[in-house]
Amino acid sequence: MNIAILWGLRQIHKIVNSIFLYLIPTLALMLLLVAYPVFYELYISFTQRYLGVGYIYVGLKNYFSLFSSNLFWHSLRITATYAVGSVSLSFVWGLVLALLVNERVKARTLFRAILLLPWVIPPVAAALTFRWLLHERLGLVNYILMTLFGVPPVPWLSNETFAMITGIVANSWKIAPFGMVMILGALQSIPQELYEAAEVDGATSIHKFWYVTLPGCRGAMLTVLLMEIIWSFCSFTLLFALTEGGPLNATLILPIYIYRLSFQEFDFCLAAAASTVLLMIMSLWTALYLKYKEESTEHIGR
Amino acid sequence: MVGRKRIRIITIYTLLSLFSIFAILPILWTFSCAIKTPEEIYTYPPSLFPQNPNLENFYRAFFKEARAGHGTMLTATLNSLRVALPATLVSLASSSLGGYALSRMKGRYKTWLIFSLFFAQLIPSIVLVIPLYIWFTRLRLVNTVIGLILAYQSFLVPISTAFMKDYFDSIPLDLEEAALIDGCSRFGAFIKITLPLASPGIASVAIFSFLQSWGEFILASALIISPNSRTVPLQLMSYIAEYMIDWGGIMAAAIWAMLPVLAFFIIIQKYFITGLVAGAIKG
Repeated sequence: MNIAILWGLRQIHKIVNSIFLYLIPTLALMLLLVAYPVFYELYISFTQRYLGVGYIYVGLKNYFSLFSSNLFWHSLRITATYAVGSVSLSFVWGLVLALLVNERVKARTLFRAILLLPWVIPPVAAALTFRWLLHERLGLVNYILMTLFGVPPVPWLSNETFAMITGIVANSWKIAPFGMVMILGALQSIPQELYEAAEVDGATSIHKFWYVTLPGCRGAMLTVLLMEIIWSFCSFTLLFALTEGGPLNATLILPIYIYRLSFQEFDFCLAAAASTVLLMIMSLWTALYLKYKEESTEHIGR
Repeated sequence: MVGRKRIRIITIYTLLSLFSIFAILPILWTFSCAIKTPEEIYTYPPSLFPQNPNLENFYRAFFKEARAGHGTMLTATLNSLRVALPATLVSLASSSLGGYALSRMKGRYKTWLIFSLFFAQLIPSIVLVIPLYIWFTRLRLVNTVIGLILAYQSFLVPISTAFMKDYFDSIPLDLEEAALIDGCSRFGAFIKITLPLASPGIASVAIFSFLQSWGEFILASALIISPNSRTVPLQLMSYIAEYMIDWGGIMAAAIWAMLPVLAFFIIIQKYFITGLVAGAIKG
């Protein structure tokens, strides 16, 4: 009897001291608020909602109606344009910023802090700022263009092409500092001896950049690329607050399309099907990233 | 040779200044317009420096409803604090426990758990918002503070836990083991030894979580319905949605929304940047 109690106490002690216990809050929150919603979203995408009845299984019906909708394909094209534009612009922008801040200049911390600001301000506030700066009649940008170059007022947000360009530039303005911070960290971890060795071998600065600097921050650049791709595909707030998908659906990226389907047209099932497409695009990029990350780490050996 | 070096330095400074102006000018312009008089905002040509700076725009944004039932920035700020502070606490508690466990555990579950955390960070809120909305409607959590606090954990917990795990990895095991040998329980060692050593990491997570909750828009816009429960980003967005043209008030509200970020940024840049890089994954 005593032995049994002792055994029981030891088990309790083991459980209390077990490391798994510490995981419970995190696991519970993740299961309830991430895993369950994702599966529920998948489930809903195969159902149709009937008032008073609930969600009835209808197979692939939502996917068929999604793939036969012109607006969906239009939105995919817009998403691709927006993503390619944002990723290329913000990546180069971030790289240039990192290289500049990496130089030994005075007030480097101040420059770094200022350059980082766009990334940290709330996206809705940033969008409002841009809306006012780019106001067609009263905005500062059009005023400067007018007085300096005599350009007639540019319809930054009300013309289809300009709205897309504005969206891309605003998004890059916001996410480029992330690339700067990440690449800067990698740049500073490149051993100085490598540059000295290259100099001894008679390398020009272009050679040094190509054979020492770039390989040295390859890992960081991959991470930055993945993040910027995912942000450009999945980010919603900045562009929504800037254009609301307009004018004439010219900036209707997939997340805005999903939002419109669900919270303006209340077609949750179709929106869920579109969400699945978004989730799959995102998983594809992540898989590619993980594959290349593995290859590049094998290649360099760290 | 000296000439080339000088040209190089000048180029670097010029480029740095140009990029810095591009980064900060929109924010400065917002600030400048926020402290102008309503008449001066619409004068042509526009001036960067206000002639008689005043806080009239802030007063209007805070205490005057632009339209009956529209809500003010004051109520929005209180709502935001009511959500962001508890959300930060919940995320802190669960991420320090979970991060500690992930850092100290061994075996096959570990890799699997870390991978799921990484993947969870990448899932965009726009995908989660539909199921959460339907589910929370059934649970009657829509339009409540608790609902929003819970919903925010969906993006706070994965990042914070991953960050805390990395931070605990950098704290040596020796002290903890010594405490265990001296008869301290594991939880005691965690609370008394490891957690205090991790306080810079905790500070970063706290700042990050608070600012993310303060600026979050998608989940709040779906889960908050009545104008009186609006958080700050929702209130900002409502100015646009309802075609307000009081740009002075809007700019004052926008500066107010940026203020916590700017304040943290100036006071504690070090923690701030580590926290940001850690929480970089989610957009």
